[in-house]
Amino acid sequence: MGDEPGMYVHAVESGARRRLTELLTAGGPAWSPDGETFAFASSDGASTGVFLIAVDGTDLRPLASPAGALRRLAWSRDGSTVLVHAQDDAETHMWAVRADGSGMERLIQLDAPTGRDTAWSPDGEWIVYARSSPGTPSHQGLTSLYAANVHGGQLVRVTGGHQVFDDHPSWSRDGRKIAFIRRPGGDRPVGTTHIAVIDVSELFPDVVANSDTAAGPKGAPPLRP
Amino acid sequence: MLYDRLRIILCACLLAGAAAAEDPGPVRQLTRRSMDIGWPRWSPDGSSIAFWGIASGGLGIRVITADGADMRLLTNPLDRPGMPVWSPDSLSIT
Repeated sequence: MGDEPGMYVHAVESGARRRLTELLTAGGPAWSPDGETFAFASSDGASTGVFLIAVDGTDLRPLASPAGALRRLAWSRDGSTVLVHAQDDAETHMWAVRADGSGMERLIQLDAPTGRDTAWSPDGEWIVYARSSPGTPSHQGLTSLYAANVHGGQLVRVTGGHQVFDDHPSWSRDGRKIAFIRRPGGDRPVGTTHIAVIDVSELFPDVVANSDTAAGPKGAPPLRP
Repeated sequence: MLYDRLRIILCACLLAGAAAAEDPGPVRQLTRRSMDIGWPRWSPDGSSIAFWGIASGGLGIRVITADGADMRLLTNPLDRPGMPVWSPDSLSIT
């Protein structure tokens, strides 16, 4: 069973699992707030697109094809929108895709990203991602986490110094903490990566105030008609 | 020789301290074992973090409690899992 490629669901307590689809995910998957649907990115060899599939493995359907390699997907809290991180050689964009298939809109272009992973704040107002540490060339592999506001492009440094590699952020549902990976230096030695957690409640008090335990980022900015 | 070792240790501590001091908020290291790790993901209820990792037990998805006190391997040794994703009720991972 371990040989069969595809997307699986595992029960955390029992370890039981089942296969949803034989399609391989290239980005995501992301579980909808109501628990009924997955959004994921997959490639047919020629192009990569965003797909939806019901949690029982039925109703597979293509949703949209934002340009670039699709890295990470997230649902808005109201379940109306799938937020997509798309990256090509030169640029990284964040897209908002309507889950009903009615359209998509490019929200923001990230400044000098170096990682392949992004995370949305639980209130949907910020995107946290890795970029080169201050004063260091990107080829040295020293990175810090920054948060970009989806409306005004304001950039806030979240972690880091000159001697660490930080990436793969995950914002907690209550808005207070960000988990990420950290390793010393930039030469990527094997077996030296750790999970770290930073308290950002003082850095982003509005995120904490606007977050709750409901599922998903509160909402992407409304799409233009 | 001893002096050189002490100097190296002191420099390492100063560098670690300098890096930590530049974090805008308090940073806590959760994992202790040596492994390659990627894609940590908070559970929706905030109690745990799931992540992809390679250690002596092989490649797999592991779950660690938010205080770092307990960690366990969730997937089978033959699996080739990607990034973990929590269900909204924090009971399942895909």
